[in-house]
Amino acid sequence: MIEQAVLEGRPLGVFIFDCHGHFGAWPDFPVRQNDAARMLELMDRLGMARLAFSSLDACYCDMRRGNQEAYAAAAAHPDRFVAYAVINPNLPESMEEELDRWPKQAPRPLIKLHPYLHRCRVTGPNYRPLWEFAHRTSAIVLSHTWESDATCGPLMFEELARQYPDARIILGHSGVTRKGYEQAIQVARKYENVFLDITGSQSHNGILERCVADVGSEKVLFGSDLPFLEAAMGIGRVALARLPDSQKEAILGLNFRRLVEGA
Amino acid sequence: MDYFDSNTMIGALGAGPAGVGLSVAGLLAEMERYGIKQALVASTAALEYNASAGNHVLAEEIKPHGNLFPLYALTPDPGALEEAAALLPSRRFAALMAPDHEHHNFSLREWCSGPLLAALERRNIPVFLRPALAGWEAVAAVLEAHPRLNVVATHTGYRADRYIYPLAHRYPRLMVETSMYVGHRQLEEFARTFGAARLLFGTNLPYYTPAAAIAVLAYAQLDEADRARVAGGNLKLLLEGKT
Repeated sequence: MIEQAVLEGRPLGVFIFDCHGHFGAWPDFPVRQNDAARMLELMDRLGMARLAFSSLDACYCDMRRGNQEAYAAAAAHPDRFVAYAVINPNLPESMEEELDRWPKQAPRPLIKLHPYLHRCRVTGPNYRPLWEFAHRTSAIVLSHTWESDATCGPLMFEELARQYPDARIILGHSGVTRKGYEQAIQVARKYENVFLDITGSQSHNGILERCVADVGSEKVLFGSDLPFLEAAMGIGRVALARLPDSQKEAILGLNFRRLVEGA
Repeated sequence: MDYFDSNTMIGALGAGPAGVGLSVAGLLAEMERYGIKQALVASTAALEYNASAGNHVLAEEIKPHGNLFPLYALTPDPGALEEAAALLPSRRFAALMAPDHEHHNFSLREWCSGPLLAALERRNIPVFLRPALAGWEAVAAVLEAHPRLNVVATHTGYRADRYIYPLAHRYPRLMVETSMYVGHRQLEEFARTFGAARLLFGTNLPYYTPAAAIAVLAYAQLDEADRARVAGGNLKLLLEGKT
């Protein structure tokens, strides 16, 4: 059923909750149809019920302004959007206040980190108060990751997962490259509080099936990078994977819903 | 949908991850799994080892399969085109040029590749280039020097529109392969601006799953005739020399 819907370009007909979207613009290629109305139109076309997004302005440039815009967009469509609080570790004096400003759209905080754009090691001292907060509040922390990157290589999260076991850590993009996925899988296998997000432009053949085999379908999350990447790509990777529909449904939305709702 | 994949490769990967490379049987199995009827096929032997030797291996392997068409790796070496063209004389083919230092190590500029490019232009054989490796300036120079040559930009990535759009406006024979052209609404916008006739469905097998490219095309806001063109009609015409 799920496969056929994709082949025919129809809404999938199952619950889809995207764990990795954005709000805003970016510098290095043309921005198109990125406003909330157009994003919703695309979500409807795909059958995507909900999207968790973070501000690109906050990732690239201005944390306060960006988060505010994202919170406002999410507040306008609370049944469709939920916003992450983007935390810039280069502004440690603002971190606590920024976490307080998160609009509490979910039982536990949703936090987005982009150590690569903020040029700050995710294990470094500037991030420590954030990880302590995440552990204390059982927050969901979605971090950008990239194979062996000095700021956010997947293996760096091993130490964090061990030290902060109540934080729910989502490895954004699962390290992106095939080798990055291997690193992400290595960490997610070992720690219950680490999840794999399959968002990304590199659609490695067989990698989703490998993730499921190695860490279990309940720890794999669908993400799209909407409106940065074409969301249909991620949908297709799950929907046409060599997996039973029950596992596809878990990955497409049920796993992330359970996480957001506090499980 | 009649998918005709413009971006596949067979053969072992010397430096690639274990288990990723596809034999011709493996490629055919993947195509069947995803309903891809025909494919243009490159060879790792030709790309990563030796163009001439690899082209021979490719021709031999795909010979029994009439739905597979060779994407021969060509260099500016004398006689390279004639040698490749003679391998499967009744089968349409396209040319892959990999001039970067990691592959065949030559220049696409006229002083080096001019005669080969002119021959391809004259014989209406499309050339496939990977701008991320060849460089957009070199791609632009090829298009400028050979206005009747059909050039397909492959593996473009989703961040390349500030190169692609000026070139596509200026050179109507520039086409884009879709496997890595996966930005938000990117395919639709290209089709709206330049027409669907300049997009070629590609999967990047064995590296990528065809699921991604199939879904992007399936959900794109195109009319069904344009969707069919992108899926396979355009590549068919290109190989037949009808563009």
